Amino acid sequence: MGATHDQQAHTSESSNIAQLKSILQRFIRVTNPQGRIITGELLCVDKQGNLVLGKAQEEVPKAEPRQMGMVLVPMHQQKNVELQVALGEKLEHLSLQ
Amino acid sequence: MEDRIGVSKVVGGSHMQGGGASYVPITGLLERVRQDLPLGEMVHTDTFSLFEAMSAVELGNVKMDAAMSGSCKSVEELIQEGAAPVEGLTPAQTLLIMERLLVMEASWHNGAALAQTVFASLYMLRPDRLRDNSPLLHAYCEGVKATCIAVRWLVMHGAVAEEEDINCWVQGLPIPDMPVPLPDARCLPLLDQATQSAKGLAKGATAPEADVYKAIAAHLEFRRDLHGALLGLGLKSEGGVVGAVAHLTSAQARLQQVMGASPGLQQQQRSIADSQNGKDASGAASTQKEGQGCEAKQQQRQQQRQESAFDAPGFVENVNKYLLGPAPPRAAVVMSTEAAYAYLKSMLGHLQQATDVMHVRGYRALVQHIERFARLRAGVVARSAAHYLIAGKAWGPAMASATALRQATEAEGAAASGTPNNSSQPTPDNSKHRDQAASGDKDGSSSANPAQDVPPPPWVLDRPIMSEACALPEAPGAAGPEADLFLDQIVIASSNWAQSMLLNSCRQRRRLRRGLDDWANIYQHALNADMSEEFVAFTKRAQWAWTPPKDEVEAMNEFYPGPLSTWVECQTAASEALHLLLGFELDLYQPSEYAMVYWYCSVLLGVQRITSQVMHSYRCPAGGASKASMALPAKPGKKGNKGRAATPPSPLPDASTARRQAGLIMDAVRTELLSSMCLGLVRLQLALKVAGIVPDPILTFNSQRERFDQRFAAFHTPPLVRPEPMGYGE
Repeated sequence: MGATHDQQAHTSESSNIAQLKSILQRFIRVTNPQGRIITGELLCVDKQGNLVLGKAQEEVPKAEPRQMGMVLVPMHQQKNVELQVALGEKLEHLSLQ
Repeated sequence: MEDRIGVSKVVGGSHMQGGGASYVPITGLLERVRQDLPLGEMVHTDTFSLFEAMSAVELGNVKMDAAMSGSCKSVEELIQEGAAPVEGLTPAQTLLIMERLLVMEASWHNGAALAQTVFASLYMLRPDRLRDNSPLLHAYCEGVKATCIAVRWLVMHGAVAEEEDINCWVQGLPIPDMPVPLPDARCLPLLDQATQSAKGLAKGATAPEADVYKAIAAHLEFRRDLHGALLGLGLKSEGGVVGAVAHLTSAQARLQQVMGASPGLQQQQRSIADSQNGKDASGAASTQKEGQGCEAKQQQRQQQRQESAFDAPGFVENVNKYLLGPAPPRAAVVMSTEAAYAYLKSMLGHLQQATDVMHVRGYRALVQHIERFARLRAGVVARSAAHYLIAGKAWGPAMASATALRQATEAEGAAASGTPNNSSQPTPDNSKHRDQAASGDKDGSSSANPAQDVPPPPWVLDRPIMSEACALPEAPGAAGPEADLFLDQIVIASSNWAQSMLLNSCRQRRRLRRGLDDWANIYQHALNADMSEEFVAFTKRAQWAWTPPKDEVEAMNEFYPGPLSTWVECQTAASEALHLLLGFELDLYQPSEYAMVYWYCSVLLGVQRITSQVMHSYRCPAGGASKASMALPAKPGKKGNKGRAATPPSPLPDASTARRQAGLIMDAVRTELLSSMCLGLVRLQLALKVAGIVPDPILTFNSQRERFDQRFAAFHTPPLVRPEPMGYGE
């Protein structure tokens, strides 16, 4: 039983990580507690929940987006994290929540 | 999963804006992954590099993220809230804003970002609002913007500014980024008109308002003179430099007037007097204050200064925080009013000294000018101007830009010639030169396409000045192809040396060391040229007092040094000596190393002396002129002998050759003197060591020999062969 439980746990680990791997290099949008919005390519996620985004830019109200290059978003700066999807695949990715 | 991957390939790769993008929350997925991942593991792309990620900007870290401080209000929101009023601005407020802009500009010159200093003013971001209600301030703001463009242009084409010197980032500001815009004179008539208005208002007002208007007029005139000087320098012509000198002299006088009426300085004096009174009143409090650390006091003063820097109307510290670029932001350090004026005064003085280049004739005089200027340790603006003025074809963009600026300035002058000119002021000494600087033409003559035909000034580091330095003919082919190649190479090497000398002191020493590779390469070219048949034939025609070596073995022998290789050896030794002496200024040596460093300096100075004497002995005519060409024509014979050639008298050297020979003698004497001084310092060090005042260091990790080799490793690195490197045993 224990072994079966471990196998099941291992399988579910793989599926979460596999799901995450499938959205690597996709554009995500991070909103921090101060309301700042950063979008960028998802490059890396670690155990502590830090995100590394490439080609990041910050949306500035009534101005051009501010280019930031590579950005590290710590866990405490992640109020909301969203994946950018086309309308057609939106339903498909609702299961990622 | 494959379908998802296929879809991701279609969708991914761009920031979709507006209605095309939908978002699906993935916070839950990230939380689950966080729990599932083993400790120390991460999920990343194939091309992800931890090394590159070390330079990522951490969001929310104040030291790295520029947008983490201050409010998020836009310029329009701040203006609507009344942060920058245009109606009802009093003359005193106008004067305060002008002075604060001047202080901000000085802070920008010293490393602060333009977005955090000059363009922290809402008036600078939206100057058109001032046109109807505050024409004086409007003219001043346009002048400041034009001067910032001119300074940025000069710094970028001067090619000696490093990132620690000045921040030229202008993205998002009302200054065009690339291509770098040419400075123009459009603001000058506006400033003149505003000056007239201010003087008229001063006459019609009573004290103290009249004094304020006079101070405003002084600010406007200073701005006009400063911009005119920068335009003149940018033209890179004798007329332009003459005009710039006149403007700089006038600007220095105006700056004195501005300082005399400065509200910032007066307030500073009042606060010093108040603190003095406070100190006298309560002795106990002052004792307590003295107990505070010096550092804490300095930080307190800096904070007060920072707060007061943005006290003037229209200044908002973080209005441009989003424009600071992706690089980690540098804290904006705004100078005090006193420090800003001191900087401006020294900058004007250094720019004046940079214009002394127009009196330079010949390479030796140019080297002395550069060395003298480098010792000033001037700011980046003055150093950029100094290098820009002497940069030759080796710095292609500088020359092309000077031509473009001349063309643009002449076009503006032609267009403005039909309009009434308000620029003439009753200042008879300077007005003529100002007009010359504006037109870019010394003689006032004009031609259809003068910019293309104007040769570079005689002081520019180019082929003519270097051919004079080596006594080679300027015309290609006269001394052979090897000599031509050598001449081209030394133009590049000398240009690199001049640039190294005008960098900031920290980079200067390192760049001199790196330049030794250039000199080593040049030495090989010099040897090839000395041995070439065409060059030997040329020296015989020109009657140089040099016996060429028979073969290459003799050529490498120190008793048969060729003239060109001797010249290169002299320059290399000078560069090495300067590299060593800069180490003292930068405090790089321990006292126990002084003796060996001074000893090596004395050796290098000795090499310079010997090579100067050798070059003097060769008696090379300047410009490759032949002595035979100075012989008298033949006299007719007395007893019917026809055309018997008279014996030519011993040829006298022409003026330039005599100057060159005298210069070599002076160099020999000077370097002998310096070498003796260095040897004296060596003996002093040894005496101090014997007396026990400077004890021997305890060397735990390496021996004295190893330290010697490490200290002078750059001089031993091949292919550098001359001057001959000295070993520890010597």
